[in-house]
Order: sequence, then C-alpha cells, then structure tokens
Amino acid sequence: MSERAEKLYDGITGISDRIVERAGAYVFQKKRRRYSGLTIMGTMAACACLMVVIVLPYLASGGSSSDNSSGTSMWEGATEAETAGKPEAPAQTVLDTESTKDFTADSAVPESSVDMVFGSLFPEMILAGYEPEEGATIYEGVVLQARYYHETLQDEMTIRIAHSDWFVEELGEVETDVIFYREKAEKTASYIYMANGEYIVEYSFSSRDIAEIDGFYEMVYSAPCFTEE
Amino acid sequence: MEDQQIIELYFQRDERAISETAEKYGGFCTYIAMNILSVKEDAEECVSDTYFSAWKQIPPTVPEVFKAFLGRITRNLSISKFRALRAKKRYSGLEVMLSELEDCIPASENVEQLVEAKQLSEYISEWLAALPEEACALFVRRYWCGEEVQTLAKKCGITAGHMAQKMLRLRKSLKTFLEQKGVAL
Repeated sequence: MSERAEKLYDGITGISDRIVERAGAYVFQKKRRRYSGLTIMGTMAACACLMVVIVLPYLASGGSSSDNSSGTSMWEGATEAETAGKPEAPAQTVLDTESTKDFTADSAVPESSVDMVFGSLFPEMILAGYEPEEGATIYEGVVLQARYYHETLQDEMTIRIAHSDWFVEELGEVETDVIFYREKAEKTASYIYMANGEYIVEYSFSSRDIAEIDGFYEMVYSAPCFTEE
Repeated sequence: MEDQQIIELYFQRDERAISETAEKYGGFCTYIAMNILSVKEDAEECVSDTYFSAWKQIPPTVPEVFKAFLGRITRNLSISKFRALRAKKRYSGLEVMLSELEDCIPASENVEQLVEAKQLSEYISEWLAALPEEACALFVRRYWCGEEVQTLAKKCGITAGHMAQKMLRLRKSLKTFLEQKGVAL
C-alpha cells in the first residue's frame, strides 16, 4: 500500500471535530428501493379502502354486484392471488405485485416504454450535464424512479412518477406545483410535485434551487403527454 | 455522565475517568478499531491503549468534541499497529480503505506544495464542509469511522454497487479539490 495513501489517511484522521460530530449524528434517509412487508400490507389496506369507497358503490349502483356488506376490511385474510385477480381494480392499483423492473433511463421514455403511463410522463429532454446514475426502475409497478447526477455541480436529480394516491399515502397532503426547500448544512435541496391528471411527477435536486435552474420547465414539458397533442 | 464531567475526572486524575470513558465510548472506539483492523484482539488492544493515551493527553489537552478526540486516537493507534505489523498480519479493513484512498491522491503535475498532515487535514475539512450533508456524512463514515460500503448502503437503502459509485465520485471530487489546491502527497 502506498505511503501517500497512508498520508491521506492521516490527513483524514485530523479533520475537524465538528465535521466528525455532525457526520456521526447524521441520519441517512432510506431510499425506497424495496418495500417492507409492513409497507406492502399498508398499501394493500389503503387500496382495499379505496375499493370500498369507490368501486363498491359503483358496482352497487349498477345493481350487478354481489352483496358485500361484511364489516371486515377486504384485504384482511385475502391471499395475494385473490386480491390481484379483482378485475375492478383501478389501472394504477397498488395491489400490483409484479417484481421490480430495472431498465435504462432512455427506455423510460415514451412509446416503447415499459409502461405507457410512466413513459408519457417521463421527460424526453434531461437537463444538460446530468448523467443517469443507475437507469430507471419501476417499483412494484407503482412508482417509476430515475436518478441523475451532475458531476460538476455535484447535484443529484431524482424523477419520481406515481399515482397521486400513492403520494398522498406516502406523504399525506401533497401540494403540487410549489417549490419546496430542505435546508442542509451548506446547500439547500429543492423539490416540486407536478400534477398531471391522476399522476404526480416529483422532481428533486439535492443541492440546487429549482427556481434558478435554466431549462427546468422545458425539461418538465418535454414529456410526451405535453408534446403529443 | 456528560462529556464535560468525564473530562473533569481526567483533570482531577480520578481513575473513574477511564471507566466512565469505557462505558460511554468503549463501543464507539471498538467499532472504529474493528472497522480498521478487523482483528478482534488487536482492536481491543487499540481501545485499551486509547484510554491510556487519553489519560496521558488530558490534561493539558481539553478535547473540543470528546467522542471525536477518542476516535482520532483509536484511528492513530490502529494505523500504528498496521505499520508495525504489516509484514506479519493482514488488516483487511484498513487495506481496503487505503486502496480506495489511492483514488484521491492528486496527480503530481501541478504540485505547488508538499503538504504536512495538518495542512492536509485542513484542506480535507474545507472540502467536506462544502459537500452536501449526506455526502459529507458518507465520506466521514467510510474513511474516518471505517464503516463498510455494504453497511452504508444498507443504511441508505441502496445497493452496495450504487454506494460504491457514490464513494468513487467523492474520492474523485477530493482528488480534484486537492489538485486545484496544488497539493502533493
């Protein structure tokens, strides 16, 4: 091992106490890659509630539905196969339990996309300087997420697309089309939820102010849903 | 017991200072030593030596952040052990860390100054202070506390590969920064 690496090690040893203290106290925010069992259960419960609130009254009014006035929640005790088999489940149902799909960020965009809805909302033009970090991923068929990194600015841009119900479920009240800021030690992160029909597209930047990013809205409106009239 | 009270025990030359330190920060020091040396017996020896070293240094030293002060002693003792025994023993934790740090060594074309460790620490602190909070925490946890890439990846909820990529970017960024400063090692 080179002496220079050891010298660097010694240099790192002597960094400011305050930096060490701050780094030790920092709580990492877990990126949502895989859902825990609890989350899946929660999501299924939320979907079941939606079914109760929306689908059942609809069926009841049509007079064709069977009597389903049981007081127990629908997801309780239902197997995954039983639940997934419900034909009335909304298109963007969170009951979809398909496995995570990874693909390139390019293939997230439009017609040939793995997912037509996500593809139509995904911007075709990405801000200059941002390189895809690890392609794009659809999680559980519910959320599409893609990360980009700007080497020079050391900024991470994350694009996340999901049905608005999913965002509400995850975050509670979601105010759209407003820039939010998250203060950090040296820089400020910013993020925005852009409403698009029943879907929301979240753009977040780890260290840039969206309001000052040239071409941000051009990127947003480069999504096929805006360009294909 | 509060750090300040423990430090006062050192100043009073009260041996309870050692037991209080061990109780409060023994786990932290052992964690660092194990991350670096990855040999239990040697790590334990380093931690014992850490208490002894703290006893010798306080007074007159008054640590600004007691935890970081102890961790720093443990790091220094760990690398001393590595240097003394490198021919006989393999300390995988430190070896991996040092091989990664090779990426941060600035190219020598723009050399303006051959820096001392203290100056180098100041530069690294300056670079760290300018990083986003998470990036700074990642670098410090990896290269100061010696936490493994897999452990950090788990904490952040990302894959080890993705974390390794983040680390590589940080190392390259440090290298660029040191080159801009005209530093040579």
